[in-house]
Amino acid sequence: MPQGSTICIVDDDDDVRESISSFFRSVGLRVESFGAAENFLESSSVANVDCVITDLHMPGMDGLGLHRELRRRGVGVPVIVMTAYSTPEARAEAKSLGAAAFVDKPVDPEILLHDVEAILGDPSQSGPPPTFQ
Amino acid sequence: MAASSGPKQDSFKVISSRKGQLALAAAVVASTLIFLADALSPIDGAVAVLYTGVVLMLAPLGRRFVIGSGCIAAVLTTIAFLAGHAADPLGGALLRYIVSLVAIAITVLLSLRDRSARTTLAEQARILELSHDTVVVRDRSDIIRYWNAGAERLYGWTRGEAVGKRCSDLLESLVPDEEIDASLAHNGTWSGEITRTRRDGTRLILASRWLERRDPDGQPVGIIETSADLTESRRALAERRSSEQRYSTIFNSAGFAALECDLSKAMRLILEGKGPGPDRKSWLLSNPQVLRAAANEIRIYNANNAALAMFDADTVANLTDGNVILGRLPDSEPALAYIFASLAAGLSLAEIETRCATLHGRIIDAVLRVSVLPDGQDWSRVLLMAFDVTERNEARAKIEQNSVELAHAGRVALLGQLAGSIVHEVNQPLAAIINYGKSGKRWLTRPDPNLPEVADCLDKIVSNGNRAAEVVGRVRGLAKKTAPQASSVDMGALVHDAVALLAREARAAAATIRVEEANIRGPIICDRVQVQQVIVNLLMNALHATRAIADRPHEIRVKIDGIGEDFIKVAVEDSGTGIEGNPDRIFEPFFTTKSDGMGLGLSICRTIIEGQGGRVSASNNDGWGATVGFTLPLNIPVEARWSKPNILI
Repeated sequence: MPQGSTICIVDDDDDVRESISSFFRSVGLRVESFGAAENFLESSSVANVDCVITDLHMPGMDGLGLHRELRRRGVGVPVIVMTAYSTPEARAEAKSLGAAAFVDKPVDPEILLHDVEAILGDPSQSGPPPTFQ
Repeated sequence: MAASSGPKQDSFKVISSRKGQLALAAAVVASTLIFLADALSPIDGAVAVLYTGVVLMLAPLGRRFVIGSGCIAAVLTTIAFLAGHAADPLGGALLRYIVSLVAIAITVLLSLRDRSARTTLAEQARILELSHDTVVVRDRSDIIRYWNAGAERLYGWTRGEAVGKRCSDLLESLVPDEEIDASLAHNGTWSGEITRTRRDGTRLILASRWLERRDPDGQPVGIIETSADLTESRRALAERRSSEQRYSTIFNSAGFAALECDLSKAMRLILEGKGPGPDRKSWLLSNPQVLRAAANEIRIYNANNAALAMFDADTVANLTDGNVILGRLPDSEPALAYIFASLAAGLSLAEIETRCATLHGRIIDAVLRVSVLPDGQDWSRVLLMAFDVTERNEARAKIEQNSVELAHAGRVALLGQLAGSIVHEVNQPLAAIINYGKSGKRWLTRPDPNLPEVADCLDKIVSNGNRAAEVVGRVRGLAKKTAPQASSVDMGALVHDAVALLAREARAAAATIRVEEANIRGPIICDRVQVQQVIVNLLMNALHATRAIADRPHEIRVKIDGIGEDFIKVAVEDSGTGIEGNPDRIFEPFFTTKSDGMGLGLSICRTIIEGQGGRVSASNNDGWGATVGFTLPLNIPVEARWSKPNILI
């Protein structure tokens, strides 16, 4: 696990954000959390983030919109999309946009960690590839 | 002039009549002649006796004339005697003088007696004339001999026309001949009814008394009859009979149960026991033994077929004891007390609903209407009408039940619409709990455990657990199907709960919901679940209305206002598209603007609000959007308390 990696969590639900953040911090990752996609895009973290975990349904810009904006800006950071209401259409679009993973809420933080590690290319990881059902 | 009628006036009248004058003149002339003859002629005879003729001549003129002429005659005789025989008073002349005086005196006395008898007869004749009844005297051949004024009036024939005619021909009498003959032969009288015809052809019914006239030898010489007209009273009797008949027919063929009761004994017991104090009804209720005793004294003496059917009785005899239908159930005590108290207070009409038991033991709901009939005394004739309303009450209960089911269905539909939100609202804290749990473990099992972080995780677990519980709690009430319950509700808190329930929906619609309270006097008595259902429904509609708007902020305002002393108003204002057409239409069943809507939500809301004594309203705002709301009384009026639900479908 590359220590010092920065993870950004974008979710309008405070408790989801905080709890995932707490978990990742407990394994030694640096976490920054944002309540809305717009806040994240305006922040300075956009340049330094190693992985983005975003909720799909948010008021204002949604998760896929955030993904598209990042790509438009030329930011190639891997994006993990999570949602409580997954639909085939959303899944397909996320895939076509090149999302790194698409997970259902309530998400098991262990699995999320596993995905993040896989994405961040931890050589010590030899488990199955990131989840993308 | 007419009022004065002393004997002096009568005499005056007499003197002024022609006959009187003639008689008087003749009397004077005669007296003079007799006097002259008596005094001057040498005739040896009691000439003075001739004065008796004068007295008789003047007799018809009246008592005074009789006595007066007698006195004058006596005086004249005395003068003549003295003048002629004064020197020789004794002897034959004296005898003749005395005889003359005696004759005059006798004549005077006889005239007076005759006069008296005549007066009596005249009065009797007048009595006959005065009588309204007819008096007719007939002889043996049925010829009319006497016909009084009453007969003239009744039969229409005058005295002149009637006297001398055959009575049965003139009057076309219908008489029971044999019966009459037998009775007359037996005791000389007969009384009974006969039918006669008037002059103008109308038939008369008469009550008649016949008396046989006999001559001094005892032979029947005719009939005296007196009759009284019964036609009117007969007609009245016939009318009364037909009226009774009519009442009887109506009573017996009426479609509702009718019973005639004698409550005199019962009411006596009721009236005896009460002293001054609380009103009679409560007194009776607190003295049930009096009520029972009175109920036992109710007597039913007539019942129509509908009553027999209603109470499962075969004959009226089965029902004679009023206690049978009225007194059996403990439920019926308040009704009995009410009825007795009303009657005792002097009312002639009392109506009350109660439960009765039929003779077969069936319990029925009945409306009893008690009416005191005017021809009875002391409540001896009381009409009791009973209307079986069991079916009506059952139907009402069914409607209420349906109403509850419908309201519940509305809530379930709402829940369905909110399901996504609800699931989400519960999932979020659950996810957070899992995450914090795992985090906590990680923090704890690190080479350098970070206990403050662990504590934080645990705190967050607890708070998220509570959050999930809250959502469940908010939703739980909606899912239940219960009969309406009244409880004390803080409207502000209820609205805030509803807004919280829709938090996610609001976020999804990018709308802000503001709650404004004003003039709240205190809690309202209402059904919490149902009123919240209405508020949630109104908010959902408002959110739906604003969803499509692109050019202005999505604002929803909930205003809670206390109105006067007794009402509270809740209005949901949105900035959406407004209501097309007549805004009140939105409460009609099956009205919807949603492609997937059934249109029942708002009509159910109206039922709920009106069932609690309130009113719904809808209008378009002056600016954007519409306002839909309701008013509710702070305390549900008793009549509206779910007793008159509206049928929606």
